Amino acid sequence: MSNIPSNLKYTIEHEWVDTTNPNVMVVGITDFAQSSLGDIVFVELPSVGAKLEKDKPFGVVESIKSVSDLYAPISGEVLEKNTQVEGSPESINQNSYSHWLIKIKPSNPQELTSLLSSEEYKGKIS
Amino acid sequence: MKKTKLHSQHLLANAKMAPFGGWDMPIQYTSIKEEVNAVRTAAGMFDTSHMGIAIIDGDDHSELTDYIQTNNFSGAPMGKAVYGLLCNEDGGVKDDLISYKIATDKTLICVNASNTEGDFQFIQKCIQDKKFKVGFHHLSNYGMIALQGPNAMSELIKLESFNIDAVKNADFKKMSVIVLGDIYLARSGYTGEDGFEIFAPNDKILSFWKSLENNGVIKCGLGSRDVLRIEAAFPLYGHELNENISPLDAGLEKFVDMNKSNFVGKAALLTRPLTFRKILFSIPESIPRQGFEIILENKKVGEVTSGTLSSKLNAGIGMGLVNTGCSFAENSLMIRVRNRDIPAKLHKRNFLK
Repeated sequence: MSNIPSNLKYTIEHEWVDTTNPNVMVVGITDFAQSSLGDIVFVELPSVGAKLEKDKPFGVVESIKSVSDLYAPISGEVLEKNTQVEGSPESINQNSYSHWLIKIKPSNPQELTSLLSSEEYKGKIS
Repeated sequence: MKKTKLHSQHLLANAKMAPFGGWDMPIQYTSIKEEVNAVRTAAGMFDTSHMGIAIIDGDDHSELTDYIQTNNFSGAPMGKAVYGLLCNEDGGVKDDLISYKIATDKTLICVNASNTEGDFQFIQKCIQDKKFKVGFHHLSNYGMIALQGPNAMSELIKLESFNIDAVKNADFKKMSVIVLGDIYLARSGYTGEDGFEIFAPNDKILSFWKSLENNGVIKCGLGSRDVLRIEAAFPLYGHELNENISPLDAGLEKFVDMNKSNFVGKAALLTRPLTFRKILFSIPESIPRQGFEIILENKKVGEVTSGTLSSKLNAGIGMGLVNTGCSFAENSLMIRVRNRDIPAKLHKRNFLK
């Protein structure tokens, strides 16, 4: 069974968003995503300052077998990227919730309403 | 979706399953990297029961085998396994296959899972059109295990059926086959390591699998099989081979015997111009994927046909086809990975040395 923490928001593209701080959205991939991908061997993240548009690809996660685009859960500016996971992408397989990918400063807070709750996301993947 | 006799074993082992050529097959059991490592350093086993297995018997079995594929089969000694290509009339590759000389009046053939139906129809049509005196028997009640790695022999002979002199005989070389009752044991594989392919009735396959598992042989899925075959630079149908590519385009001329009196596609191959040239390459810090463009001086000159990450080289490795019209210096090709062009280092023969 996939681990789906109830304190986070989700997208149908299998990303999680920590919305605790309204000015700094923390984004990663879900346990379901890491498990479907298998051994993650590469992560490509955007530069700090890059402008993201909701639902558009902003990076890539690769396992040996497959490549998956990462889609921006919300529009905004990249405040920070996790260089530690770029260096050791396999850490995402160990715990995909403690290894965030990027932090976004949202440009349109209304988009947050389109994110899924843990119950809704659970419904999408079961 | 079709299931092999070992399907329930894969589920019990909690393998990650996925469709492959119409079959529900294990992609990995634990991790692709660990499974690759097991085959390179010890022994691993694969369920390859999805492949198409058939026996051709009767007076013309050897003539038919020579007619349907490109390599010289009738001239090969008894017990030989012969790799060849099945071509269409235009010289395009329909499939690759291994033909095993198992008796003076019998050939065993093994083709790719996804092409089994088409290949067997094509062979039946050749038999009818050319009136070959043969019987053609699809061994649909057979399964197949590939036991691969430097310890494959020592693991194999732990099994009672195989702890006999015929298996340990020095004449049992690579690319040969021995017959043990209703079991065909070939010293062949798709990994670049020593190893065996065991063809046997399904119940025996199940019991061999369980015994090998109890003896600690690592179960490997199709994910690691793909990495291993790319490191060994073996072609895969649908990647390096398809009906628009001739065996000569694919760099497989040593498996095409143009001196044979006839085979399907021969006439076309005599005049067909070369369109592609196969290359092997590595790139740092990225994984090449099928369909990525090969770039020379900012122009597309070819496409990646297969790629993966090799932990042996700690680099992305791949194979590709480059248009024959273009000439290039040793270090001038780039691989376009999404929006970046990454310089490709060219390799000869394979990635194992």
